[in-house]
Amino acid sequence: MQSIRKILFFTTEYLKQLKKKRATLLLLFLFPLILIGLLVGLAAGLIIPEENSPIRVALVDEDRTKESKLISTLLTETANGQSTIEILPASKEEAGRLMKENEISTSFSLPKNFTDDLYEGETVTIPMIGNPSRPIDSFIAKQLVDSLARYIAAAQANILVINDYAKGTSMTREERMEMMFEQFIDFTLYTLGKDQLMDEEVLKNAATSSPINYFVLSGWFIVYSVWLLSFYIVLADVESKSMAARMRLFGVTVGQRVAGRLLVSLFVSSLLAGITFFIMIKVLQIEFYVLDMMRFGIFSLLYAFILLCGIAFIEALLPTKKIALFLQCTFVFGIVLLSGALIPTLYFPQSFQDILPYLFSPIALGWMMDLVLEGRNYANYTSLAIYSCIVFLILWTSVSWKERWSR
Amino acid sequence: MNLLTALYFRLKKEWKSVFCWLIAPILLTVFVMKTFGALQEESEVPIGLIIEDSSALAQNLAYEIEKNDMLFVRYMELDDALHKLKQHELDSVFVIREGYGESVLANRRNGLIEAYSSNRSFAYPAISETIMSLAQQDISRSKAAMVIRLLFHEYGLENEWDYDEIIQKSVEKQKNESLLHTSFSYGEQAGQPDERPLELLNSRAVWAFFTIIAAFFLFDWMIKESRPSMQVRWLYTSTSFKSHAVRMLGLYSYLTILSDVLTLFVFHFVLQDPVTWSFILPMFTFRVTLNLFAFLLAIAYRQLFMYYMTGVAAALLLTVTGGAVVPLDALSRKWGWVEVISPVRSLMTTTIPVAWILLLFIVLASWFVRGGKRIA
Repeated sequence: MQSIRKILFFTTEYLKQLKKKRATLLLLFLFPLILIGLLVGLAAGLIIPEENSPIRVALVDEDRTKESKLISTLLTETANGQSTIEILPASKEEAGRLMKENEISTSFSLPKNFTDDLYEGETVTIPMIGNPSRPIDSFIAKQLVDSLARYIAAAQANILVINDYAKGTSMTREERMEMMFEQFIDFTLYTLGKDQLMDEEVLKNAATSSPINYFVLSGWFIVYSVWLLSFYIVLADVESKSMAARMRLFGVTVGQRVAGRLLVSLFVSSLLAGITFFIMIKVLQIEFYVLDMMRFGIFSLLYAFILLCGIAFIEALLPTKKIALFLQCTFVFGIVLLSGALIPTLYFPQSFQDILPYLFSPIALGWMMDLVLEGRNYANYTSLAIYSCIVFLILWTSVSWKERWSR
Repeated sequence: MNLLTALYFRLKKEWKSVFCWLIAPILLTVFVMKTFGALQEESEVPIGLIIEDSSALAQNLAYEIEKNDMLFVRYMELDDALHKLKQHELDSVFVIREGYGESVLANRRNGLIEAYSSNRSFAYPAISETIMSLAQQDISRSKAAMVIRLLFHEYGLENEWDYDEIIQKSVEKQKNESLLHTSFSYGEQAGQPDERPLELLNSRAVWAFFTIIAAFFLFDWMIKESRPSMQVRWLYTSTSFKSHAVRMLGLYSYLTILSDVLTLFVFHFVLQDPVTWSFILPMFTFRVTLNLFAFLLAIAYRQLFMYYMTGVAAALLLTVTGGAVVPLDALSRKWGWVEVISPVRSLMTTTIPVAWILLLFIVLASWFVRGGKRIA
């Protein structure tokens, strides 16, 4: 009873302390938002391609034969049908100039003797020059040209086989060359029409499960974690050793103060996160009922509690504040990374997949995603509840041990 | 003489922690790069594969798909696979349709493979392209066989036509004479071709992140020594606190630059990130900028802890705006000023953050010249 009263006392004290640090509070509130906003903005800029600015690639035809001209026209025309890439035929000098002016991302050329080498079965290398100030675009262009080269290589092997067999017939050389050209066009066209091969279908189980909603919720999750960490850290005790000794004489234990800090940071950051979540739901127009809200709230509180216990545990273990702070940041980063908020857990290495169901952050984020995005209408708190009991016990014993040792 | 003793006492008391934070960024960078590299190699995309056709061609295609390092193939029933796809347990699902073998032999290729993806299948475009190219190979070979049959028909050699032999020849040709390559380089100045045009995690950026944090942790002496209780003591010494502080700044800069030299060696030999001469000056200026930044910020702070927090925050912000986490293509096209703002960006593009250095030196000079008042 006595200790609960002390915890309550420290809770209110810490709240007062927070109120005094108004500027810090504002900074704490804004900093994660700005950082995550920046990151999400950047990621979205990458993933969602700008419609009116496709990747521009220059194609330099140095061979200038019938075939190479045909290939460049074909490439230009097929590319024009797509929104992601635009191929411009250009001379070598022009391509260099465009690159300098940052107009194009990459240029590639059909080298001299391109056609002859193809017919004869000599190895051909297509040189690509990337624009160093646009690494991503260059990378994508390289991938596209690579797959194109793979297709042409496959087609080329077949043309060569046909050539070999044609040599066995009584065809004249001119006739054979004529036929080869026809085959060349035929195979190129055939290769470019490869999309017919696949019937594609996109499954949408719920309109709310769009990638944007996914990323927004992930962003919220990260911001919440950062808030929890930063509030806990800001409430650090700054008083001297003599003050601590006096406190001890009054019968105040470290545990009571840790509990106070934990409660205040849990309360304040959950309040902020709750408001942000509410705004988020309204903006994204997701239907969310009171019951869902309750479930979601319980999951977030359990997650927050476990995370805070972990943070407090690190501090209890380590004597130096610098290292503790560093490890706490690393811990939170690791937890967020493992939760799948940065990279969906689906894409983790297979050896990791077996451990994932036993980690608390993927469980918590998984349930939150299910509730918000998939509209799931049941919830199971058992595992998270067990985890929170365990971490609480660990924290409690370690803090009381520390107390005994320091005495 | 007593000045040097002050420096000496400081280091004697704190050399362990100083040494730790000088070395830590290097060790952490190596650790992060190595583990991340290993994880990246290991990561696979799970897909569902359903084979409805029992022909050898279909089996072979499935085998080829399974051989791909990027994919983790799970064979299952369609219903099950689609359910898993909806649960986001699979990235995408592919069905090799019944009659695949026959259609390939008959040179028909429309809709041989069915592909299902969800709106969260982030790897789908790459995977579908891979699978399509594998199937296209089969069909293209079969087309060649058809062409040769027509040819032989024309010249009365029909009896010599052998489907399997042609396919075999085509496979060999493609394998033996790797016929078409691409080479990639960034402009002519790079010299050697760069086979890795994109790295998700840049070792320099990781190093920059840890170095910023470490720099703040190193420069905490500034706060410790400018405590009010310490300030009183400076009144009785022959030198002012400021000149002492500037000397300390010099000493710490010297130490950090020593650690930077070590970093360059580690980059070169452990991380296989070739260090060129053009990288040394940007790295040096980055270090000077960072030290000045940490030093000047320390003047404005009274509490150690808030100073550390600022260090972590600054590290995060500067590396993100530096394009370390997500390359800044899209951003720098719209807002060119971001590059000017972040010194990390200068480090990445091996330029010199002139604006930063000038500004910081001006602030340092004005702090030094102005009388006893604190700045900010």
